Amino acid sequence: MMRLKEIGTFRLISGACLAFLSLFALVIILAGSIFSNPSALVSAFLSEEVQFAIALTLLTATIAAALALAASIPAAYLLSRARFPGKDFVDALINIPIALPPVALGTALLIFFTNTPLGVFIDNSIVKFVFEPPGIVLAQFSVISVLAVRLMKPVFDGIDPRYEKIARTLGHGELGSFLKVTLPLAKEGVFGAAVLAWARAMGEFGATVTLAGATRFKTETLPVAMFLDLSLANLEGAMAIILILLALTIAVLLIFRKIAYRGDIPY
Amino acid sequence: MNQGSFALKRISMDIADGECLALVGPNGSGKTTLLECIAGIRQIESGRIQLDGVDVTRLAPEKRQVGYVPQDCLLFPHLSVDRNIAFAVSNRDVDSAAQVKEMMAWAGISHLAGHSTRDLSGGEKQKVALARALMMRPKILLLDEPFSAVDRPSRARLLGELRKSLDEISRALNLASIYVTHDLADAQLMASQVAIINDGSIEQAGPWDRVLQTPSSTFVADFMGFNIIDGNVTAKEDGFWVVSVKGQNIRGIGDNLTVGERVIAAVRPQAISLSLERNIRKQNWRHCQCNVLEGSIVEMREIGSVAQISIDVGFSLSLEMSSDLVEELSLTVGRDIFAQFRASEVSLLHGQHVV
Repeated sequence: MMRLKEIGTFRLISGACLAFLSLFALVIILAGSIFSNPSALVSAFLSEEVQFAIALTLLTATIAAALALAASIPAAYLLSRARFPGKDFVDALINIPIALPPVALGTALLIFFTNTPLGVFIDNSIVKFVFEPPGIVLAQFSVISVLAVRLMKPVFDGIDPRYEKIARTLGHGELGSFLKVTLPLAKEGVFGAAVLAWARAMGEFGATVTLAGATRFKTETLPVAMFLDLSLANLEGAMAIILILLALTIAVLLIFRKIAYRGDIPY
Repeated sequence: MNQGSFALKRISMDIADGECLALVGPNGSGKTTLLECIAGIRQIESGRIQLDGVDVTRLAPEKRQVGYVPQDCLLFPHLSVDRNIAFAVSNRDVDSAAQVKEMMAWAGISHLAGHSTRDLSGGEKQKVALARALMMRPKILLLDEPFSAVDRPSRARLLGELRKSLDEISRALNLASIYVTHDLADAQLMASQVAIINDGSIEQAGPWDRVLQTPSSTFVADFMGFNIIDGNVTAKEDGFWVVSVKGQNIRGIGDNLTVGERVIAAVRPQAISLSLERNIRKQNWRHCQCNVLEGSIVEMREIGSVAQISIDVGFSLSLEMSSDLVEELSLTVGRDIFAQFRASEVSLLHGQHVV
């Protein structure tokens, strides 16, 4: 009792909240252990279809995260630093994909590429997105890029803009100051945003299934494979895929973390 | 330059090569804003900034060759000391390592190579920031309240070192510099010229002795710590105006005054001497027109070798004199004295003092 008093009420409440939030991950593992068994897990992992889904998910999520990062770093920087007419409107506008369910986003993209002249032209003549693997990347990108902007803007907000100004008096242009001063100072936040965006892309389902469809050995990411198993009432198979997705994500996050620590990023 | 309700206006200054100008003014008067305009960090709406005869008003900061050392140094936290210094030449095709080494040796910070900027003391940070600014061979150096965060004894030592370094580098590179501060003692130590800024305007600029001799406005006189006395011009005698202040007559100098006009008489505390007799005590003043006012000592405070004294001569005056002289004259609170100051040291300014 004495020890509890020493810890303090606030610390106890904080600890309870953290434990409660950790329960979600534990529930997934628990459900997996109930509805799955080691042999089902091994056979799922060895199946050609799941291996295809793993490779496709890793590839598309990584491409989508890289593209999202490339677009959201300058966008977040601009939103943080620049003052321009209609900035509040633009700021609100780019939040829309966060508020919409991913299925709605996928539906909007599907309508754009099938029912508008520009969309049809792009889909027919430049890159085929509808029911094709590039559609997966686009769906993931549309969901995570805004998330990345939202995560990175406060990072840039927290960096004193006078560092860039000093860099400019020292002979570096606007881009040079950004690349040599602001970006290195923002690396922790940018890295964190990149990891979260990548993890979110790994689990993206709603927009993906609507735009790219759920075709086996074609647009079948791990979440889509799980959905296909669930639609056939194959709970054991679905849970095995969930556990594979979970293990994969944890493994990659740990690798990121290791890289980050080696690079002095305390993420 | 406008920033909310604040604006820089009526700014006109010239700084010659190799010269150091002290820009002094109270907090919020626009000192840093003016430096940022010169550095190109802020844009001005009208007017011109010329460096070496070249109009740089619309030039990007990276093209101006203005060395800027901000108050808080702003050393890049992700770079070590030597990489901070090398930053200015990191985009040029030069042997930066040798230059950095040379600059660090000049600044006396060679031992800090490879150190993180987070581990540095206030004085070390300023030296690194100065070395970094000088690396790009600026045409003008802007120093914004260096060492303001350093304790007073250390600051005096560091300022002495900075003055020596600046003299050396100004001579070698023909470098002009602007030193911003709100501390008059620091400003006098660092610069031969002074510009006083108030509410975004330069009130007065010129050599120290001229500003101290003839402040151009009540603000300047007040800011410089002058005694400020309200009075009326009653006559002009022997080239000096006679001003009546609470029944006492003071002689002074001023431009475009008229008899009957309300004026402010400004006298520096250091220009006033005390004597126990009416006769002029200082020998070299005996041939000058001198004001002699009878009164008594109200308050006396000794700070080191200087005594700050308040006297009542029908109105209040503050003055400073050496502690040795105070002892020699046996001055104590309540003692009757004669305040003496030359008429040429009294600046008469138009208007009335608003407190």
